[in-house]
Parts: sequence; C-alpha cells; structure tokens
Amino acid sequence: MAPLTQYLLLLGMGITTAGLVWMLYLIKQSLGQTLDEPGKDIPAESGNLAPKPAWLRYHVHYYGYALLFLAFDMEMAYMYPWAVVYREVGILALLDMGVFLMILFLGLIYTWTQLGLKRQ
Amino acid sequence: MTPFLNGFIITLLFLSGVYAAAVMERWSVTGHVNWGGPVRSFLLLFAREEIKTRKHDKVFFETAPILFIGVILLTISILPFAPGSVIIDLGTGALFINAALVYVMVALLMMGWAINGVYAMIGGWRAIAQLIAYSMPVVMVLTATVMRAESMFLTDIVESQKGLWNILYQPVGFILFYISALAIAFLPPFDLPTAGGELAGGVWADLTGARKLLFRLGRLTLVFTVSAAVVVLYLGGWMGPWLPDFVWTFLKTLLVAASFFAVGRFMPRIRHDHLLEYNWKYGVPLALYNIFQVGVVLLL
Amino acid sequence: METTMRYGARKGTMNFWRRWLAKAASQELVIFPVPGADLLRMYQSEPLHREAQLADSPKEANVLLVVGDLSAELTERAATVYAQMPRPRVLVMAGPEYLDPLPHPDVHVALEKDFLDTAMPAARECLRRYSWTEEAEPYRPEPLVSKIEEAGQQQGHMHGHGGHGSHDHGHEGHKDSEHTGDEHRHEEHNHSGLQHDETDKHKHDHQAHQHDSHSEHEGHRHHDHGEHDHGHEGHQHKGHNHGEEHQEDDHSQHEEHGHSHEGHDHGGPQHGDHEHDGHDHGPGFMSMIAMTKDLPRSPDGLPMEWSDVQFGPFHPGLPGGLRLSMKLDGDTVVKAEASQGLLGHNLPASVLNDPASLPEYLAAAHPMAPVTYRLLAQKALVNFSGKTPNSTLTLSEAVLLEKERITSHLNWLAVFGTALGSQWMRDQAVKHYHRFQDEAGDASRLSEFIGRIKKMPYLKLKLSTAGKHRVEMEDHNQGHEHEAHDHSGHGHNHGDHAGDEHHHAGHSHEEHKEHEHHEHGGYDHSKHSGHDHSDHEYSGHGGNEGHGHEDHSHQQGSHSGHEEHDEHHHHEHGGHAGHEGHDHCHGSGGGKDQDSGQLPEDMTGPAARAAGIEKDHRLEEPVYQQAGWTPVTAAGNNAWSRLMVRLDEMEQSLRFIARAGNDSGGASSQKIDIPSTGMGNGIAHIESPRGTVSLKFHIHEGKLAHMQLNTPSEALAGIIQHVTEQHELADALTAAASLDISPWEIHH
Repeated sequence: MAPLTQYLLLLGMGITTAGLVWMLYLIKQSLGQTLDEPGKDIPAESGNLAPKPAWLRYHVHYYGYALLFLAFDMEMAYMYPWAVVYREVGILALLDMGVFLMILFLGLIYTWTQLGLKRQ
Repeated sequence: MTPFLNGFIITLLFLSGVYAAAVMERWSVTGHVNWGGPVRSFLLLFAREEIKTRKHDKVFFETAPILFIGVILLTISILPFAPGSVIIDLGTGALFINAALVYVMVALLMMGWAINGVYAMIGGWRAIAQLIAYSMPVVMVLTATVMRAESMFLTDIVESQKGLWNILYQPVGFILFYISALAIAFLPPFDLPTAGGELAGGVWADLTGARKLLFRLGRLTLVFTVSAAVVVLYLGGWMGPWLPDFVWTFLKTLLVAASFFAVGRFMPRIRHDHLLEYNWKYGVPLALYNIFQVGVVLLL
Repeated sequence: METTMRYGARKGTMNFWRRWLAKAASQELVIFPVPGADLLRMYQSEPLHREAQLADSPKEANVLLVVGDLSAELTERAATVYAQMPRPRVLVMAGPEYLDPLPHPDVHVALEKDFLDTAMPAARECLRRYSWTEEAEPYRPEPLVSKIEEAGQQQGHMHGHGGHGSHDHGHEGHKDSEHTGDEHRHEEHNHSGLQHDETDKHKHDHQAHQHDSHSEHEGHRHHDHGEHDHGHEGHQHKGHNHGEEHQEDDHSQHEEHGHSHEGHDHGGPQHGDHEHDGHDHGPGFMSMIAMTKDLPRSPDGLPMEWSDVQFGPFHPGLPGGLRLSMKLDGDTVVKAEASQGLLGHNLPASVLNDPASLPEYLAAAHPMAPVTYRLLAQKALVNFSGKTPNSTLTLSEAVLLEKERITSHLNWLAVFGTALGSQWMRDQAVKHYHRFQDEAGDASRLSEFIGRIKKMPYLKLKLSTAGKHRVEMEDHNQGHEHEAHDHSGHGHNHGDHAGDEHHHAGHSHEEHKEHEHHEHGGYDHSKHSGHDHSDHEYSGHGGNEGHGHEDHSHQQGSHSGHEEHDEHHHHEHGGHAGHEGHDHCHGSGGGKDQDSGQLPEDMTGPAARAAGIEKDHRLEEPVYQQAGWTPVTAAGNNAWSRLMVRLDEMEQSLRFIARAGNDSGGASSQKIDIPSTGMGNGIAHIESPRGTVSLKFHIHEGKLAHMQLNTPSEALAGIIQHVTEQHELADALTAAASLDISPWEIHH
C-alpha cells in the first residue's frame, strides 16, 4: 500500500473514533437529562464541599526535570534517522552520535552534581 | 484466508483481549476473577447521569476523553498482529508509538485541569511528572530496536528478531521498556494520576457516565496496546511455532498484560519523586548504555 | 416507607430499554461507606467478593451506606456525598432510621453483624425498580444550599476587591468564570498566615514593626535573618494582620511557653526551621535553592498559590471519620491538621445517672476498640468501688485485649494498604481480619502474611522517608549524640530523636528526676501545648518501669497530672536550660514550636514505640510481667518502623495468646454496683492497640460528676503537622495513615 493510503487510514481511524464517541453520547442522551441539584457539580473532596474553584498558580515541584527533559527530547529527534542508517554508516555513526550523546550525558551528570535531580 | 476474514478475526481477538484486560484489572483490584464484572460496570456507567463539574474548562473537558481514547486506538492500529495484518503500516511506526502515547498523559492533564478540583488537578500534574520520567528511557530504547532493524516499520522490527528476540539481544532495553510500559498505562504501581488511596480517583474521579466510560475503555485498550508493543518490539511479535502467527501475538500480548496486573497487585505505589529520580539517575544512563551496547554488537 | 427513591432516581419514565439497563446495572453495587470501610468491616464476617465493590469517590458509587449513628457534623458531610453521587443512587442506613439533612433511607436495616446480606439485595431491588421515575425530585439539603450560596456571594464580593493581582496568572485564557475564583484565592492567600508566622515575625522585626504580643520571641530575633529575601516577600505580607494570625495559629503554644516561663530559653525544642537544612540540602551547597530556603513560601522560594484541601472524613486511605485539613503548595503539604470533634457527642444523661452503664457506653462510643474501652471502664469502676484499689488485668482479659490488638492492627493494615496502593496487602489484611474476628484466625498463616509484607519490594524504601517525624538539624544530633550513647544500654536507638532530655524533668518527681534524665534520653516531644488541655496521667510510667524501676509503679494511683501542671512545665524547662548550650548555637531562624521535631511526651502506643520509646502500660500489668513480656520497639520513627512495630506486635500477641492456652475466657461482664451515696474517684489505664488510654472519673452520690478520658489518638493527631510538613502529598497521607489515629478518640 502506498504511504499516502496509510495516512488516509490514519485519518479514517481518527474520524471513526470521533464517530463512535458521538454515538455513545447520543445513546447517553437518550437515557435522560441530569437532574440539577445543589452540590452535584462540585468536585468530590471526600465528603467536604469545595464550592470554590481550584485553579491556581500551581507549584510544579519537578521543574528541574522538566528542563532537562526538554534538552533531551530535542536531541532524540535526531536519533531516529540516525538509528535507521546506523548499520549502513558504521563506526562513524557510532562516533558521531557517541560524542553528541556524551555531551548531553555530561549535562545530566552536571545537573546531578548540582542536586538538580530531586524534587525541588 | 482472505484478508477480510483475517481482519475480522483480528478485530475479534482484539476485542476479547481488551475484555480480558478488563477482567484482569478487576482481579488486580479485588483479588477475584469475575468474568461478568466488567460488563456490569460498563452498563452501570451507561445508566448513570452525566455530571459536569462547576466552572469546568469546556474545551478541555470535552476534548480530553476523545483525545485519550483516540490516540490509543491510533496506536493499536499501527501495531502488526501478523505479517500483512496491520491496519496502518506507517513508515514512522516506532516513532509514532512514542509520539502518540505522549498524549495519554497530556489528556490526563487536560482532564485533571478541566475538572477544576484539587484532587484532579494534582493528579493531572502528576501525569506530566510521569511523562517526564518515563519518556526519555522509552525513546532511547525504541531507538535501539530501530538500530537493529534499520527501519522504523514495526513489521521490519519484528522481522529483525528472527534469529534472536530483542528480549535477549537487548535485555536492558526490554526491562526499561517493560517498566515504562507500566508507567505509560498508569497501572499500579505507577497509577499516580488516579491513585485510589491518595487522590480517591484523581484525574477521573469526578467523571461519570460517558466520559468516564471513554477513559475506562481507553485505559483498557491502552494496557492491551502497550502489551502488544512490548510483544512487537521485544518478544518477537508473531513468531512462534505451530500456531497461526496472529494467535501468537495475541497470546503473548495477554501474557504480558497479565504480568502487568500481577506486578501492580503486589507492589506498593511508587512515589512520584522516586519515579523521576530513578528514571533520570538510572533509567537514562542505562538506556544510553543500551544504545551503545546494541551499536557495538551491530558493528561486530 | 418511602421506597420510590424520590431523591435517588433519575427523572423519566421506565421504558423497555431503561428497564433492561436498570436491571443489568443494578447487579453492580458500588458502595460508599460512611464513615468508612474500616467500620463497615466490623459488621461483616467475610470480605466483599463479587456482590459489591467499595468506591473511592462518591461519583463512582451508587450506594451510600451509613453505618451506625452519625454526629451532626458527619451527617452533613454524608449529605454532601449523597448530593454528589450521580443518580441512580440508593441510600442505605444501618442503624439510624433518619438523619437530618439526609433524606429518608431507601433501605433501612438494623445495625448488626452481616447486615449487608439483607441490605444489598434490597438496594439492588430499589435500583432495579426505581432507577428512573417521574417522581424524582432534586435533593436540596439546607446546609448545602446555604454553603454554596455563601461561597457564591463571597466570590462576587472578592471580585470587587480585585487588588491582589501582583501574581502572574498562568491561566488568563480561561475566561471570567474562573476569574472570580482567582481573585478569591488571593484574598485567601493573603490571610492565610499558616507557616509563615515565624518567618513573618523575623521579617517584621527587620522592618521595625511592632508586635507587642510576640515579645516572647525575643530570643529568636538574632537568628539568621540575613537570608530572608524580602524582595520576594514584600507584596505578600503587606496588609497582613499578624496579631490575628498568631492568635489563630500559634498562640496556644507560644503563650504558654513564652509567658509562663519567662527567662527560660526555648531554643531547643522550638527550632522548627532547620529541618529544611538537614532535609533538603547537603552541607556546603549554596545554590539559589539554598539561599531562599527560609522563605515563607515554598522551600525553593517561588511565589505560588496554595490550595486549601480536605482529606477525609470519607477518604479511602484514611481511617473513616478522620479529616485532615491541608494547605498544599502544589503537591507539597505546608500545613496539615486533623479536625477534632467530627464524631463528637456528649455524654448522655442516662450514663451520667447510671455510671454502671459506662463500660457499654464507652465501648459503643469507640467502635474501633470496644473491648479495650469496656475493660477500661470496668477496671475504673472496680477501682472506684474499692474492692481492689488497683485492679490489674486477669489473664483472660489480657487475652481479650491481645485479640483486639490483632484485629485492630489488621483493620489498620487494610486502611494502610489502601493508602499505599497495595491491593494485595489490603485484601489479605481484610481476609485475616475477618478470620480473627470470627475467632477462626490462623496464627501461622498470619505470620506468613506478615513475613511477606516485610519482604515486599520497594515498600521499605517508600516508607522510610514517609512520616518521618522531623528531627532537629544535624548539629543538634551531633550535639546530643554522646548523651544518647549513655543510654544505649536500654536498647533504644536514640539516633533519631536524640535531641532532648529536657522534657523528662517533666515527669515531675523530684526524686526521680535525675533518673529519668538518664533513662529516657531518647524521648522526643515538642507539643507542650498539648498538656494544658488534658491532664496527663503519666503514660511515661510505662517507660520508667520498662527499665526495671518497679518502685515507680505506685505512682500510678497517687500522682495525677492536674495538680502538678505548673510544676510540670517548669521542670521541663529547667531541665532544658541545662542544654541550652547545644540548642542555641545552631539557632537559625527557628522558633516554630510545632515543628521542633520531637515526639510529644504523651505519645504512646505503636507510634511511640516505633521511635524506640519503651512506653507501654502492659509493662505494669502482672499478667504480662509473668509472661516475660517486653514491648516491641523499633528505631526509625517513620512509617516503616510503625508498620514493623505493628506487625511484630501482632506476632507477639499471637504468642501471648498461645501461651495463655485455652484460657481464652469470655468477656467479663460482671455488673458493678455503684453505691448511691458517697463519692470517690475511679482511675484506670489500659494499653489499647493505639496506645495508653486512661480514664478518670469522679462519682458523687451515685452519679457521674466528672469524667476524663485520655486517649492516644489526641497525641497522635497532634503530630500530624510534624510528620507531613514539606512532604509530598502521597507521603503525607501515608504518614497520617501510619499513625493509626482513631477519629473516635479525638472528639471533645
């Protein structure tokens, strides 16, 4: 099959999923409306009423990892094409990527020594 | 066998696999095998009211469940059950697994945020922590399987294991991927976003009816999907003697799924800081080692 | 009886499709037990198998199951749960027939063993027949409606204020609906003094603000304020009303020490701030993180908003009825406390008039340990009636106690397993619990289970950092290390709580003072405040005798906490002063009373023994002495050691019961005659599964005039802040669960 067909299929899958979900919602709809009652739309908090919205400036304690993740994730984009041609190119590929990864890895080690690898 | 019949059987097997995952999930929670249980809880969700929480984020609230189940269905559709029996044979297969499954956690964050409740919000942010923890090792070990196959087609990756399955060729990669697969499917002990004893259901605690149903179904499919991914990438896919090839894929997948649930039942929930710490301190270096090892062996 | 489920059904008519769905879905019961699964288990004789499941959250449940009578407070929360459950839903009450503001139950059963056997089919029938009905009406409980309205008004009001906007909101995009919320948050934030208090104080000292009411903190002022970053703080503290905050948060503690012990220095036990050092940062490392660590916000110095959130009273990972109110900075706990009085009820007149009914009343009021409380009251009554001035336990009573200890620990283990997310541990604990409750327990299988828990992968790693009672900074430890060694002969590990001899003076026996000093180098305690409101019949006795000072035991009767109170504190600080030297030199910041990382001296039970403190009332009981019984202790003072102590105690109890042989004895239910004239006191102590309980009452003319019950959970609830602060939420909840606080014991 041509690659284009594959992507059409992919699109088709997405549409099918959406269609199934829509059908599900329709069936649910046929079973009646939700009765509006006080308290029901408030997120459960083990028995306590929390009428106030919960959104806030949330402290994400793992931001150190998140930054590191960005650096590594960028690098991984190069890895896939490299991996495909790896055997073809041979030892040169190993060295090329080895140096690249080593630099990145040193970054990880540095973060580690700076106590960056922990919950802040 | 005509392709149509083949497809029909595979779809059937797939559905029964998801159902088996549902039964196993119930077992892992209650300790009892109950064949009818999942159907009943499915119908219970059907009979229920839909509750939308007050002041929810409308866009996220509506899209998250669909995104969740959507990416999972897309992922399973690229995994080959047998040579030639793959719904979508993508040239970027291995990459696609990784890219698509990221959205599992994104959907969880969207849902957790949309609900506008503290438990759910904490669960949502935990989901992202989990993503940051497991995704690097996953990407790296996937690369190593691609290196061996010299292709990102998943069918090629299975074919490349003809002589020796990847579980033996790159055992470190297998272990890392297996653990990460648990984390991707947020199964216990990695069920941080939905942690029962901590957040009382977390991200999906406040969903009822159809949206909850989508998440539950999506998660079961996800378990089946990541199990199938383990099989395709490391356990030689459809390879095996005597039985038809797709049966092998199916059996192996069920076995992997069962082992997932068993691990979850007997382990305490991991702490999210441990998860991050171990993955970055040990997971990433090990994954790099795995690439190196595969690279050297390939050149020998 | 109203069985149409007016408040539980969905609105609509039954048609064929709905009828079928209702029938199929009714097979699946998802129960939300109130007040909790632990209490429900007491009325079951086997685990729930396929009939039903327990829900974690109200939104997953279709059955609200009320077990027994609820206090008004708890009923209101049960009503909240009911209101939040999606329809169709059934209300099942076991025991009470009607609890306002809950609607009339759809199914009512008597509160008895195995009531679920009748309740569940009835609930199923209700769901099958009335999942949809035209009679459905919205459920509008008055308290809920008014609360929601109030919150709505508040938000509107806040909106007008608007002046707190110096924070950058990451979610501007979310339209006005949440904007109200935001403004509101800020308001909240600004007034929520919480942990800042102390630091605030320092800051304001710098800024030459006058805080008269806090002059007692003089001693702290010279501490290292240099590191506070005022820039960060500025906007946050403007307009704070510190006086108010302190009244709310600290006063009880500071007042006491500060005012009544002028001149004593409290440096030691009050240095709360150091834990950041020892905890987070290796020595010598000065990053941004370290520089800003003392900021009143997050330890990393980022200005963030905090959530107010409650865990419990109906939380799957906590004992039913226990509520923790938390302030969360992201998912880190900044403040946590256990609410008191949720289950509270007053002593009914019938008991006041008829003290002989006290045992049954106490047993009913503490359903998590009925045998213990019944025995306690019986002993106190016997002591009062004077036949045996200091009656001790008989062997059969001790066996009953030990049996209850096993079941209580197993029930706790089920809750703890849920908190840990280990389904296997929970299921096994429940299984064994039911067996032991039905007198069909198998000692060897329980031992095997215990062995498997101990070998569970990752468990130790997870629990060792959780629930660590925060200890003073490293220097403190070092400073005291040598002293700790002196006592090592007693088999404690003092390492973790080496900081504090001082409080032993608090045991208030001049002649033993010296003694005790040396004995218990390892006791920790910080919550002096805990002592004012309750007089302590010293649980410390257990400790004394543990070291072979039998001669102390007479004190049990003679020495009652009340009178000695002042003296008590005085001593404490006297002793303390001697150690000023150490405590002081590390005095950075500090002064947070409640953070000082020492176990309060009224801590008893497994949680205290897990810190190496040999406090156990059983040491005084001849029955146990004859058996050569010694308490199980562990070093560590964390969730892991608490788990280990309880597991070992179960095994120990098994051995004790086995030793006692067939003399298992029925419940001693002898009726005690209370003379209708005259007066006197009755006192008794007993080692419950959670620690030493003591009961003291005064009977006047055959009527109960005064009763004082000291329960271990009060002290346990007091240390929640210490074991949770700056921990990640999961750890904090695990820690709280590891304490085994019985909410029934902390009502006032």
